[in-house]
Amino acid sequence: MRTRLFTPHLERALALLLCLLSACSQNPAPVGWTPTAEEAGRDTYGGWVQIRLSQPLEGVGPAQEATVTSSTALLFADPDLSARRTGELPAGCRVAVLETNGPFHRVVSATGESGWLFYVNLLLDDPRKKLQGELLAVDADTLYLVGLGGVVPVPTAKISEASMFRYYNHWGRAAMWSVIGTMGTASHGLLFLLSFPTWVLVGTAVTSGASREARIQYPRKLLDDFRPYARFPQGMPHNLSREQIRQKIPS
Amino acid sequence: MIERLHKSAPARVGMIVLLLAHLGCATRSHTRKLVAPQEVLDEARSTDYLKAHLPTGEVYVLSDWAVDPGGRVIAGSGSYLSALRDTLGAGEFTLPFDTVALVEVGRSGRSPRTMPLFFLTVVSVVVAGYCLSHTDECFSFYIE
Repeated sequence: MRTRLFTPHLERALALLLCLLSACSQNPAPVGWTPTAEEAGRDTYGGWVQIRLSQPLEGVGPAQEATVTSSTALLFADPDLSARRTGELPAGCRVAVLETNGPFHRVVSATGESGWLFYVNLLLDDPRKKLQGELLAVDADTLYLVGLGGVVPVPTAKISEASMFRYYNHWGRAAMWSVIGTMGTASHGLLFLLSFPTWVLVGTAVTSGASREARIQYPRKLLDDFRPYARFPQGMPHNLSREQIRQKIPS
Repeated sequence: MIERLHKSAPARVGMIVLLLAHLGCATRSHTRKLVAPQEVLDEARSTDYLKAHLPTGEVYVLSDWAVDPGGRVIAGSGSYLSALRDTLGAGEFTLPFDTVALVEVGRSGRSPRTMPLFFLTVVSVVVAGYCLSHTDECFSFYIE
């Protein structure tokens, strides 16, 4: 069994603390979704991709995602407040909007809970601005991702920016190391005046760089560089029904 | 001098700090490469795993494998998953080159990005060790 020196919570807390000083890259994937660098070799799903579009997509329907804003967001069997309750979603839960009926949205969460939500409980993403999900494939003119609501083909010509989060590299450890090292300069006597700023500068630079290490960005890199981290690096299989493909459920 | 420092408590603490920093605090990296099945022999020697992607979206994940360029096959043990990533089988597999669309090889390891912190830690530990054993020199401003 591997010895864990520090808990992930402590790592992340210190990482966030240091991020107040540096421009770190936060992974937008759901918690527990991204494999660690050690697990990435065995992981057979794609990396998490976030896309900003230059033009709106047409017929994006299933890609419309939203965040639950109310702490008691009730799911109903029908688009009616007096209908049978089928469940409840916590605040902050990400859902896909499958259809709309008046002030109601039929939604599905990553864990498969579905039902009708009253509109005030949802904050809808703007599909013209940003799309995100698991990267399925990058073909010559189309990038495929799977969001909560299903597969979305995105013409590469409409992509203005994209970020691919390949794995979690424990960059919080660099933040933690920097904080401990900086505190340790108290033992340097007068040399503290030199070692303290050195630790702050080097620690911030290393943490910031480490937070970006697992990310690939377009247009800085080519979209083709995303391909090794797609679920189907060979391209989208032609015989596969897209309706069947679902996003990985976070562990 | 070095021997005295080696035996001193601050030096021991310093060595533990260095060891912990190196083992526990280094970030990890993972790199991948895609190659054609016939090129896998050159690429796969120093990698941790091999994934053989089929045109249908299915994938073989092999942890122990051998490539026979003459027989044009990849043989190894691991698991076989569907395009939806359901496990279809596990065990020994032999894959002819022409059934494989693409081979993915990769490696995980310690990231070199945290090396500056390691060097800074070495310097810090040496300075701290010296100051803790020569408090009158390092902390004279405070003592006075």
